[in-house]
Amino acid sequence: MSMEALISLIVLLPLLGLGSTYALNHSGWRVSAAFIAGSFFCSVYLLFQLDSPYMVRWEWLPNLQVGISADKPAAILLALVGLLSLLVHLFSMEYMKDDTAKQRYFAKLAFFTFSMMGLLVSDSLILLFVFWELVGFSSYLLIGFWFKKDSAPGSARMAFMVNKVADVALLAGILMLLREGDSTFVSELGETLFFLPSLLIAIGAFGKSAQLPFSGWIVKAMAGPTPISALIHAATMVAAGVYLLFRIGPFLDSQVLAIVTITGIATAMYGALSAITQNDIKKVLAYSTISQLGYMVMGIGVSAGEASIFHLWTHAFFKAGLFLGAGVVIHTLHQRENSDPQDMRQMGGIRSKLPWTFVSFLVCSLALAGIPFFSGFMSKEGILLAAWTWAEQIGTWAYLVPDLALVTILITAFYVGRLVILVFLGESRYGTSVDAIKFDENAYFKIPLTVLAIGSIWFVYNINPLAHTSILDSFFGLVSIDSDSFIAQSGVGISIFLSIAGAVLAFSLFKPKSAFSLGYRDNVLPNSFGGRVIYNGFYLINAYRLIGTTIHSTAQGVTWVEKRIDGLLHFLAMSVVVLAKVLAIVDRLIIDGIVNFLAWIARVLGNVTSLVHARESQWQIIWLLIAFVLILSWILFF
Amino acid sequence: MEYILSYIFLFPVLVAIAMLFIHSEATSVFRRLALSATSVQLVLSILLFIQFDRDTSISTWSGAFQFVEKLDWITMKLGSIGKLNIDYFLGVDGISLPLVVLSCFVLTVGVISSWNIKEKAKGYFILYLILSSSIIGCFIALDFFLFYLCFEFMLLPMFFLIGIWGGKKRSYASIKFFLYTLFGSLFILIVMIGLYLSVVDGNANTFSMVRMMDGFYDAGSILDPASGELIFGYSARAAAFLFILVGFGIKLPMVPFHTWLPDAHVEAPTPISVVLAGLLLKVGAYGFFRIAFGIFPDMAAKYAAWIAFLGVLSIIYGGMNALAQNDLKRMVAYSSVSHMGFVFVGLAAVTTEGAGGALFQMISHGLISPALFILVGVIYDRTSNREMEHFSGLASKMPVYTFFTVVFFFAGLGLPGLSGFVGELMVLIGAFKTSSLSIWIGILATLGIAISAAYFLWTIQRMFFGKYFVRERSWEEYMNDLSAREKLMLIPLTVLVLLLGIYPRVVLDCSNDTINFFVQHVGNFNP
Repeated sequence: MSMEALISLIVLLPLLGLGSTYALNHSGWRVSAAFIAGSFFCSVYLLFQLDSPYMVRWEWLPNLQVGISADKPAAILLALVGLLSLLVHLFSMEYMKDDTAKQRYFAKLAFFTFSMMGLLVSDSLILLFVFWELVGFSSYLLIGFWFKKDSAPGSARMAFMVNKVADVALLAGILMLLREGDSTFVSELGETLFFLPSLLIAIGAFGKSAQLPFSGWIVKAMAGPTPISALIHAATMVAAGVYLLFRIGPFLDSQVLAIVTITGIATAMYGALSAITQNDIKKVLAYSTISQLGYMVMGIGVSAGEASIFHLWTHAFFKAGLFLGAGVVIHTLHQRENSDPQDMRQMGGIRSKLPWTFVSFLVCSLALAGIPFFSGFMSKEGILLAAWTWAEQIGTWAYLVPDLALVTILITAFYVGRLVILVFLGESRYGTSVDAIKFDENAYFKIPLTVLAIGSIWFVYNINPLAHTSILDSFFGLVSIDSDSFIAQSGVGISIFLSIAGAVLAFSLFKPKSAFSLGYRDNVLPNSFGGRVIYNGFYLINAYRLIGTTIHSTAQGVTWVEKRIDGLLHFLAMSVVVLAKVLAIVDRLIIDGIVNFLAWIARVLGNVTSLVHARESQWQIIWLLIAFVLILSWILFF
Repeated sequence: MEYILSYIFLFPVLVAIAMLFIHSEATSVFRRLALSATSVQLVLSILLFIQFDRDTSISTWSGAFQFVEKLDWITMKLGSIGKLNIDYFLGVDGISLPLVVLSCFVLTVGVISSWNIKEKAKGYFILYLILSSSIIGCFIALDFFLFYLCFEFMLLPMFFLIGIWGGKKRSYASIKFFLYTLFGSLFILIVMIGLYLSVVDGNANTFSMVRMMDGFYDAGSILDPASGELIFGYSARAAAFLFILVGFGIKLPMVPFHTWLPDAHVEAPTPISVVLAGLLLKVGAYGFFRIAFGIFPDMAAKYAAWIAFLGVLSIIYGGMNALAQNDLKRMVAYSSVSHMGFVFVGLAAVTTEGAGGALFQMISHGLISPALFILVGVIYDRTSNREMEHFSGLASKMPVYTFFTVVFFFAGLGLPGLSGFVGELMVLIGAFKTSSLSIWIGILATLGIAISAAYFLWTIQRMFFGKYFVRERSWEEYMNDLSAREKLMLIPLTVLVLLLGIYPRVVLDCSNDTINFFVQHVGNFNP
């Protein structure tokens, strides 16, 4: 098969899936899943076929070429997106079984897959922006999928708007490249870009990858169905920003790279801190996603893009696994009436009821916490070591970055431990009787969970569980870190210690029958200032709301101006009318008046003379003669 | 085929004349006749589109036009002043051709949209057809006098169409519309006379816009660039350019001359809003292409930064106003102001991308805004109300309606894959690429896209999502999903918006040569 056809198949098969959901009424969504599977298998085939990057360009607009390029990083990520999309399709078949709008759901899911695949193969930044927007659009549609719910539409809008602001920066950045005369093809970039375009493009990436200050939208995105959160808002779409940074990172201005690093580590801390006290299972996972994305972005900043992409890969597996596991729990607890199925205060003790889910969830949690023998440890280690090497080059303040990363590891292990314990261990806190709930894990749930859990274990990537290299290196390139140095080895040691310490700390605090665990069902929201700040994610969403209302009141102000402008024109028009009226009065009184006056004089004279007229005509002739004689004599004698 | 432009131009008038002889009780005859007239126009314009020669090398404006028809029309001896020569002079180039096709299409959609007009149908459709002819005439006339005649002639039917078939405040709106545009066209009239006295064809003065664009000035005449004539201390050409700016700016509409537009739209019946937004605004923009930039390239290049500023002002100001509206139709009207601002920015960039983008934005907006007004009409036909607060959760009751609304709202906010994105992207590329404009023009225009996302999304959320609710119980029975007639209008519009979004070269290939020459023509004067 020619390359061209293969890539077209990978990208376009999901689009056929979209068509089939509507074209084939009832079974269309199953066919759609088959198309996704086809796309996935093609991308695996591509992995083996691809030797050198494959590029195509065409003239989309006059004087403007766009093009795609399939190289190794793109190919491996295509396979990742294809696989995850397929697993989520499978999972959704059971999860959305009873939803009446299944068709719409699967159509949007297929559309998302198409957009994401397109984004991965875009070589031209303009084309990348096209798919970037489409990805955001499908995310909007899927967050707002349950549009009758009170929260979903508003959340979808906020997520889209926050993204859109960053997208505007991205577009401006790309177009600025054109102004500077740079190429807009990633594969043609050679020199370091200027500061402003670099910064704008980085801001665009921050938006999609939920870096500060854009992080809040992911929490809002949790209003969508849980499988969507797994695929879009944890594993793939949010990684688009990291992917863009991976591609363009080597050409960014050095100051911008420092900004990227600081933003990354700040976001990693922010997410980890905010996750600690959440009671909503999806919110814990959302904040943890923010935190992990921060790690990846930091990795780009310290010039370890390869490590970031490896972390993107492993994160996609374990985070999708966690979300789908949470999905099973939510799906099951959804059977209860009048309670929030996502509230961890009403969970507990699910381990024995959903054993398969528990095991996969545990494996993915250990990967997230960065415990050795799981994938997360390996990929995180690469970023950490790179950060260390980077800090050594810069010195002084730069050491703060790897140090904070270590602290984040501790916090991460802590909140992950808390999550697992509160959801799965201990006594149940359902409220209603357990018997009323049907616990069921069928193959649609089990297969995706198993695949994702296996993908979170070390041996898939490297026999050595402590390595930060993997068989995937041949696709992303190798991270160049001196892993034998003393500092690197001690770093590994410290991070292992911290992750285990965090988990142990969590267990000692939240373990079954502990004081916390017994009182957790009635846990009230934190009261202290610090507690509230952390619980509310540093009031980021409130800040968005404030900005939104400010813009709306500005708009009201502009409309006030508009009314004044209209009023002014109205006033001008009215003054013309008034002037016309005044002129009419002038016309009637003065000009008409003069004429009338003259007429009046004429009439008076006429009347006077008519007195004369009234006499006999003989008399008139006599008067005429007298007058004639008088005038004549006056002329003659004076 | 030889007189194809005349057929497109005059066919509706002929049908309108025929209508005069039909008894006014026969309501349905008029709409069928009108539909057939516009359909014939549409078919002819498609033929025109196919036959248009796309590979031309243009070196002068006189070589740019195809399908040219030129006849002597009015010749009048004016004693010592000279002779009045007016030609019947038609032709299309790459700029006007897409607009002609767009016009025929939108006019056809407009007739379908007028299908339910029963009251005084005879008058309505006769006026509508006269309007059709005048709009087409504006785009194909190459004689300034003929252009001006058509330009003025659009006003009259429009005045009555709004004033008789409009909403509650229709007479206020129609008078406002009429006076505003009449005021603007007086400026154009003055410039037209000045140009006639300055431009020659052989020995005689001429109204030919082609000669004007190619710059055949009578040496020493008032608008001759070489003569440097001053009026009250200002360059005559600069004054003329300013007049043109105001004249067409009112039509476009350009902030701050736009306040007629929301009122006219809100009061106009749906089909008239469709034509108004889809085509009349384009006539203003076309005037900028042909006259402001075509005939006064030196002034256009000189004042490009100001024009770009006015464009950005329209984008932001229109967008902010749209954000504050509660009336759905008023919101759409302000979004038009905002989107037409991109045309200004693109033109002012004077690059191939910018000017091509401006033209593309006109075409794209000519498809999106009619669709938006049709969508507003859907809800207004059913309830006689369009306050956003009176509706909620329409998606569960009217899914097809919601589908089309989402498509066109997203087309409006520039979602890639739909035509709106291409126009905005090209304009922005132009604005960023040109060194003659400040980078802030580009950045602020880009911000405008975020504003349009804000108002469209907020509207979707308020009216279509959430729990189903309509204000009055009595509306309930009318809340049916789209009828076949409404789908008949929206489906072709959707297809075109998608087609142009994915393969924009349908339009750009035929306009490219002309746009290149246009840019070269204006770019020669770049400071």
